[in-house]
Formats: sequence, C-alpha cells, structure tokens
Amino acid sequence: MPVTDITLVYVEDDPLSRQVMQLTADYVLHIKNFIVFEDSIDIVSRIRSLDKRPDIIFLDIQVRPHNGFEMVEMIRQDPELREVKVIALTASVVSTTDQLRASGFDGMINKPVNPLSLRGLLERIVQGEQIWETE
Amino acid sequence: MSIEIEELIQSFLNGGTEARQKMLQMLSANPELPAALRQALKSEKGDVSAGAALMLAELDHPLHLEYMAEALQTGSLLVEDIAARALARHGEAAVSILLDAFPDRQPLVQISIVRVLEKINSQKAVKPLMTALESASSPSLRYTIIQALGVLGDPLPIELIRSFENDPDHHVRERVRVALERLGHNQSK
Repeated sequence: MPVTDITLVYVEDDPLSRQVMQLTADYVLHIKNFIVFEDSIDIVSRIRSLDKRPDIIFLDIQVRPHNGFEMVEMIRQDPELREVKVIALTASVVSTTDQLRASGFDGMINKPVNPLSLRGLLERIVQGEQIWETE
Repeated sequence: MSIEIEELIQSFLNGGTEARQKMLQMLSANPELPAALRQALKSEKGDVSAGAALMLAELDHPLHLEYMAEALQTGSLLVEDIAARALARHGEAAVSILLDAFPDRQPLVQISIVRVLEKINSQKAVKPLMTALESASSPSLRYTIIQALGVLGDPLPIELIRSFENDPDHHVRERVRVALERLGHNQSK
C-alpha cells in the first residue's frame, strides 16, 4: 500500500510535534487520511468511531490522561484494533526500547518526526517491519 | 520557475523511497538541477518548496552546505526544519550556520537545530544553548536544550539546569533529572 493511501492516527499533546507532523503529512507525504487527537480521553472509542480503521497509530508516550503504555494496552485488548500497527513517538530519553516492546508497541520513532526519513519508516511499517529508532 | 521543475518535484514526492533514490541518481548528473531546486525553495506552494528542500537535502552536490544554509532562512517552517536536519551531515562545518540562524527561527526549527547540535556533539554550542535556555518559553524547546546540554557533557550548565527542577512542565522536570544524572550530579543538592 502506498504511503499516501494509509490511514494514520496520531495522539499527541505537544502542539509543536503535532504541527511538524501535520505539515509533513500534508506537504511531504500527501496522506489523505491523517487524524490527530490532542489527548487520550476515550481514545479507543474515538478511534473506533472513525470511518476507516487505521493502518498505523502513532502514540506519544507522555500524553494525558492515559499515557502511551496505557493506550497500547487498551488498543491490544480491543477486538477491532488489536492488529493495528502501534508506534511510540518519544524523545528517547524517557522510555527504553525493551519497555516499549514488552508493552506491545510495534516500534518507536523519535519526535518531532523527521520529514527527511518519515516516508521510508512508514513504508517499512506498512510492510510489517518493526522500527526502533535509536537517535 | 519552470513547470518542469514543479512536475519533477511532485513526481519525487509521490514516489516510493526506492523510486526516489533512483530518480536522484539519474538527476545527479544534471548540473542545472540544484539551481532550479534552489529557486523552488521560495515557491509559495508548500509541497513544492518542501519537495525542493527534500531533493536538495538528499542530493550530493558541492553547494549542499550553502543551499541548506539558505533554506534554513526561508521563513517556511517545513523547509527550515528539513534544512536544519540536513545540515547534520556537515558536522562542525555547520555549527556556526546553525547557531547564527537559531535566534530568529520558530521554536520547532530551534528544536531541530538543538538536536542537530547534540548529534554533532559540538562543544561550541554549550554557551549559546545556555543563553537560549534562559529565555525559552516553549516547554518542548526547554527540555530539548536541557537534554542536549546533558549529552554534550560540559559541567558549566549544571546550576542553570538545576534551576529548572521545579519547571511547571513534567517533560522538562524529567529531562532535568536525566541531564543531571548524565553530568554526574544528583537532582537534590
């Protein structure tokens, strides 16, 4: 599936990180179905209410009221969403790869996202690869 | 700007990574391309200017440093962000360009500049980053600078970092803890 056709959900409370992701999705990736949630209140029901099930969900780890670890647990327990690729977006110093992997994430990308590399990372995620960025 | 360059940029943006790499390889022999892309950096169409920045960032050409320095001051947030990150490949040679551009950039680009300075491991950046931290109103910028100062490893900013221990933002407080640990100091005196 081309990156332009994926449905991507992003849960992020930091306005700057949302801004660069939105610009990258619009101008660099041309993603038609890009949905942003600014908090994690009722996150599973909000994702389930979308017209189309997401292909990929990006979760900020320190978002509130439910952090990324709590959200991925809820998503993995939901019969409609449990197979969706879930990627942690983090500034890298707070969580370790082992913690994220054990919690059910399919990968980790540093934030704010890098417009130079995001397309390649999304292509690999769509192909089923796990992505663990280290810098 | 000719329509051909816009079409070229759109093809690049719509192609997959492999197709894009092939395209860049094919185009790298064209000596006129960098100058045409440089012109396209100023396009009012967001995808054209961003696509031009991406192509220029990924192309190998002798004026890469100069063009990325110029892109860093275009006023387009996305172009500037791409340029800041692309300058990382030049290491120390890019440090003065990044530091000079820093004060007048938007916080998002400033964050990218700080991360590149951290990646380059530039000790020249310590004092300018300390000055920037003192006036940083964005929590994201504060915690990015604190993280970078921790990684750079100079003990000079320890007291300044410690002054953010009770920052209202929890992300900042967490980075203070990590930075002080990296610098060999516990959080409490």
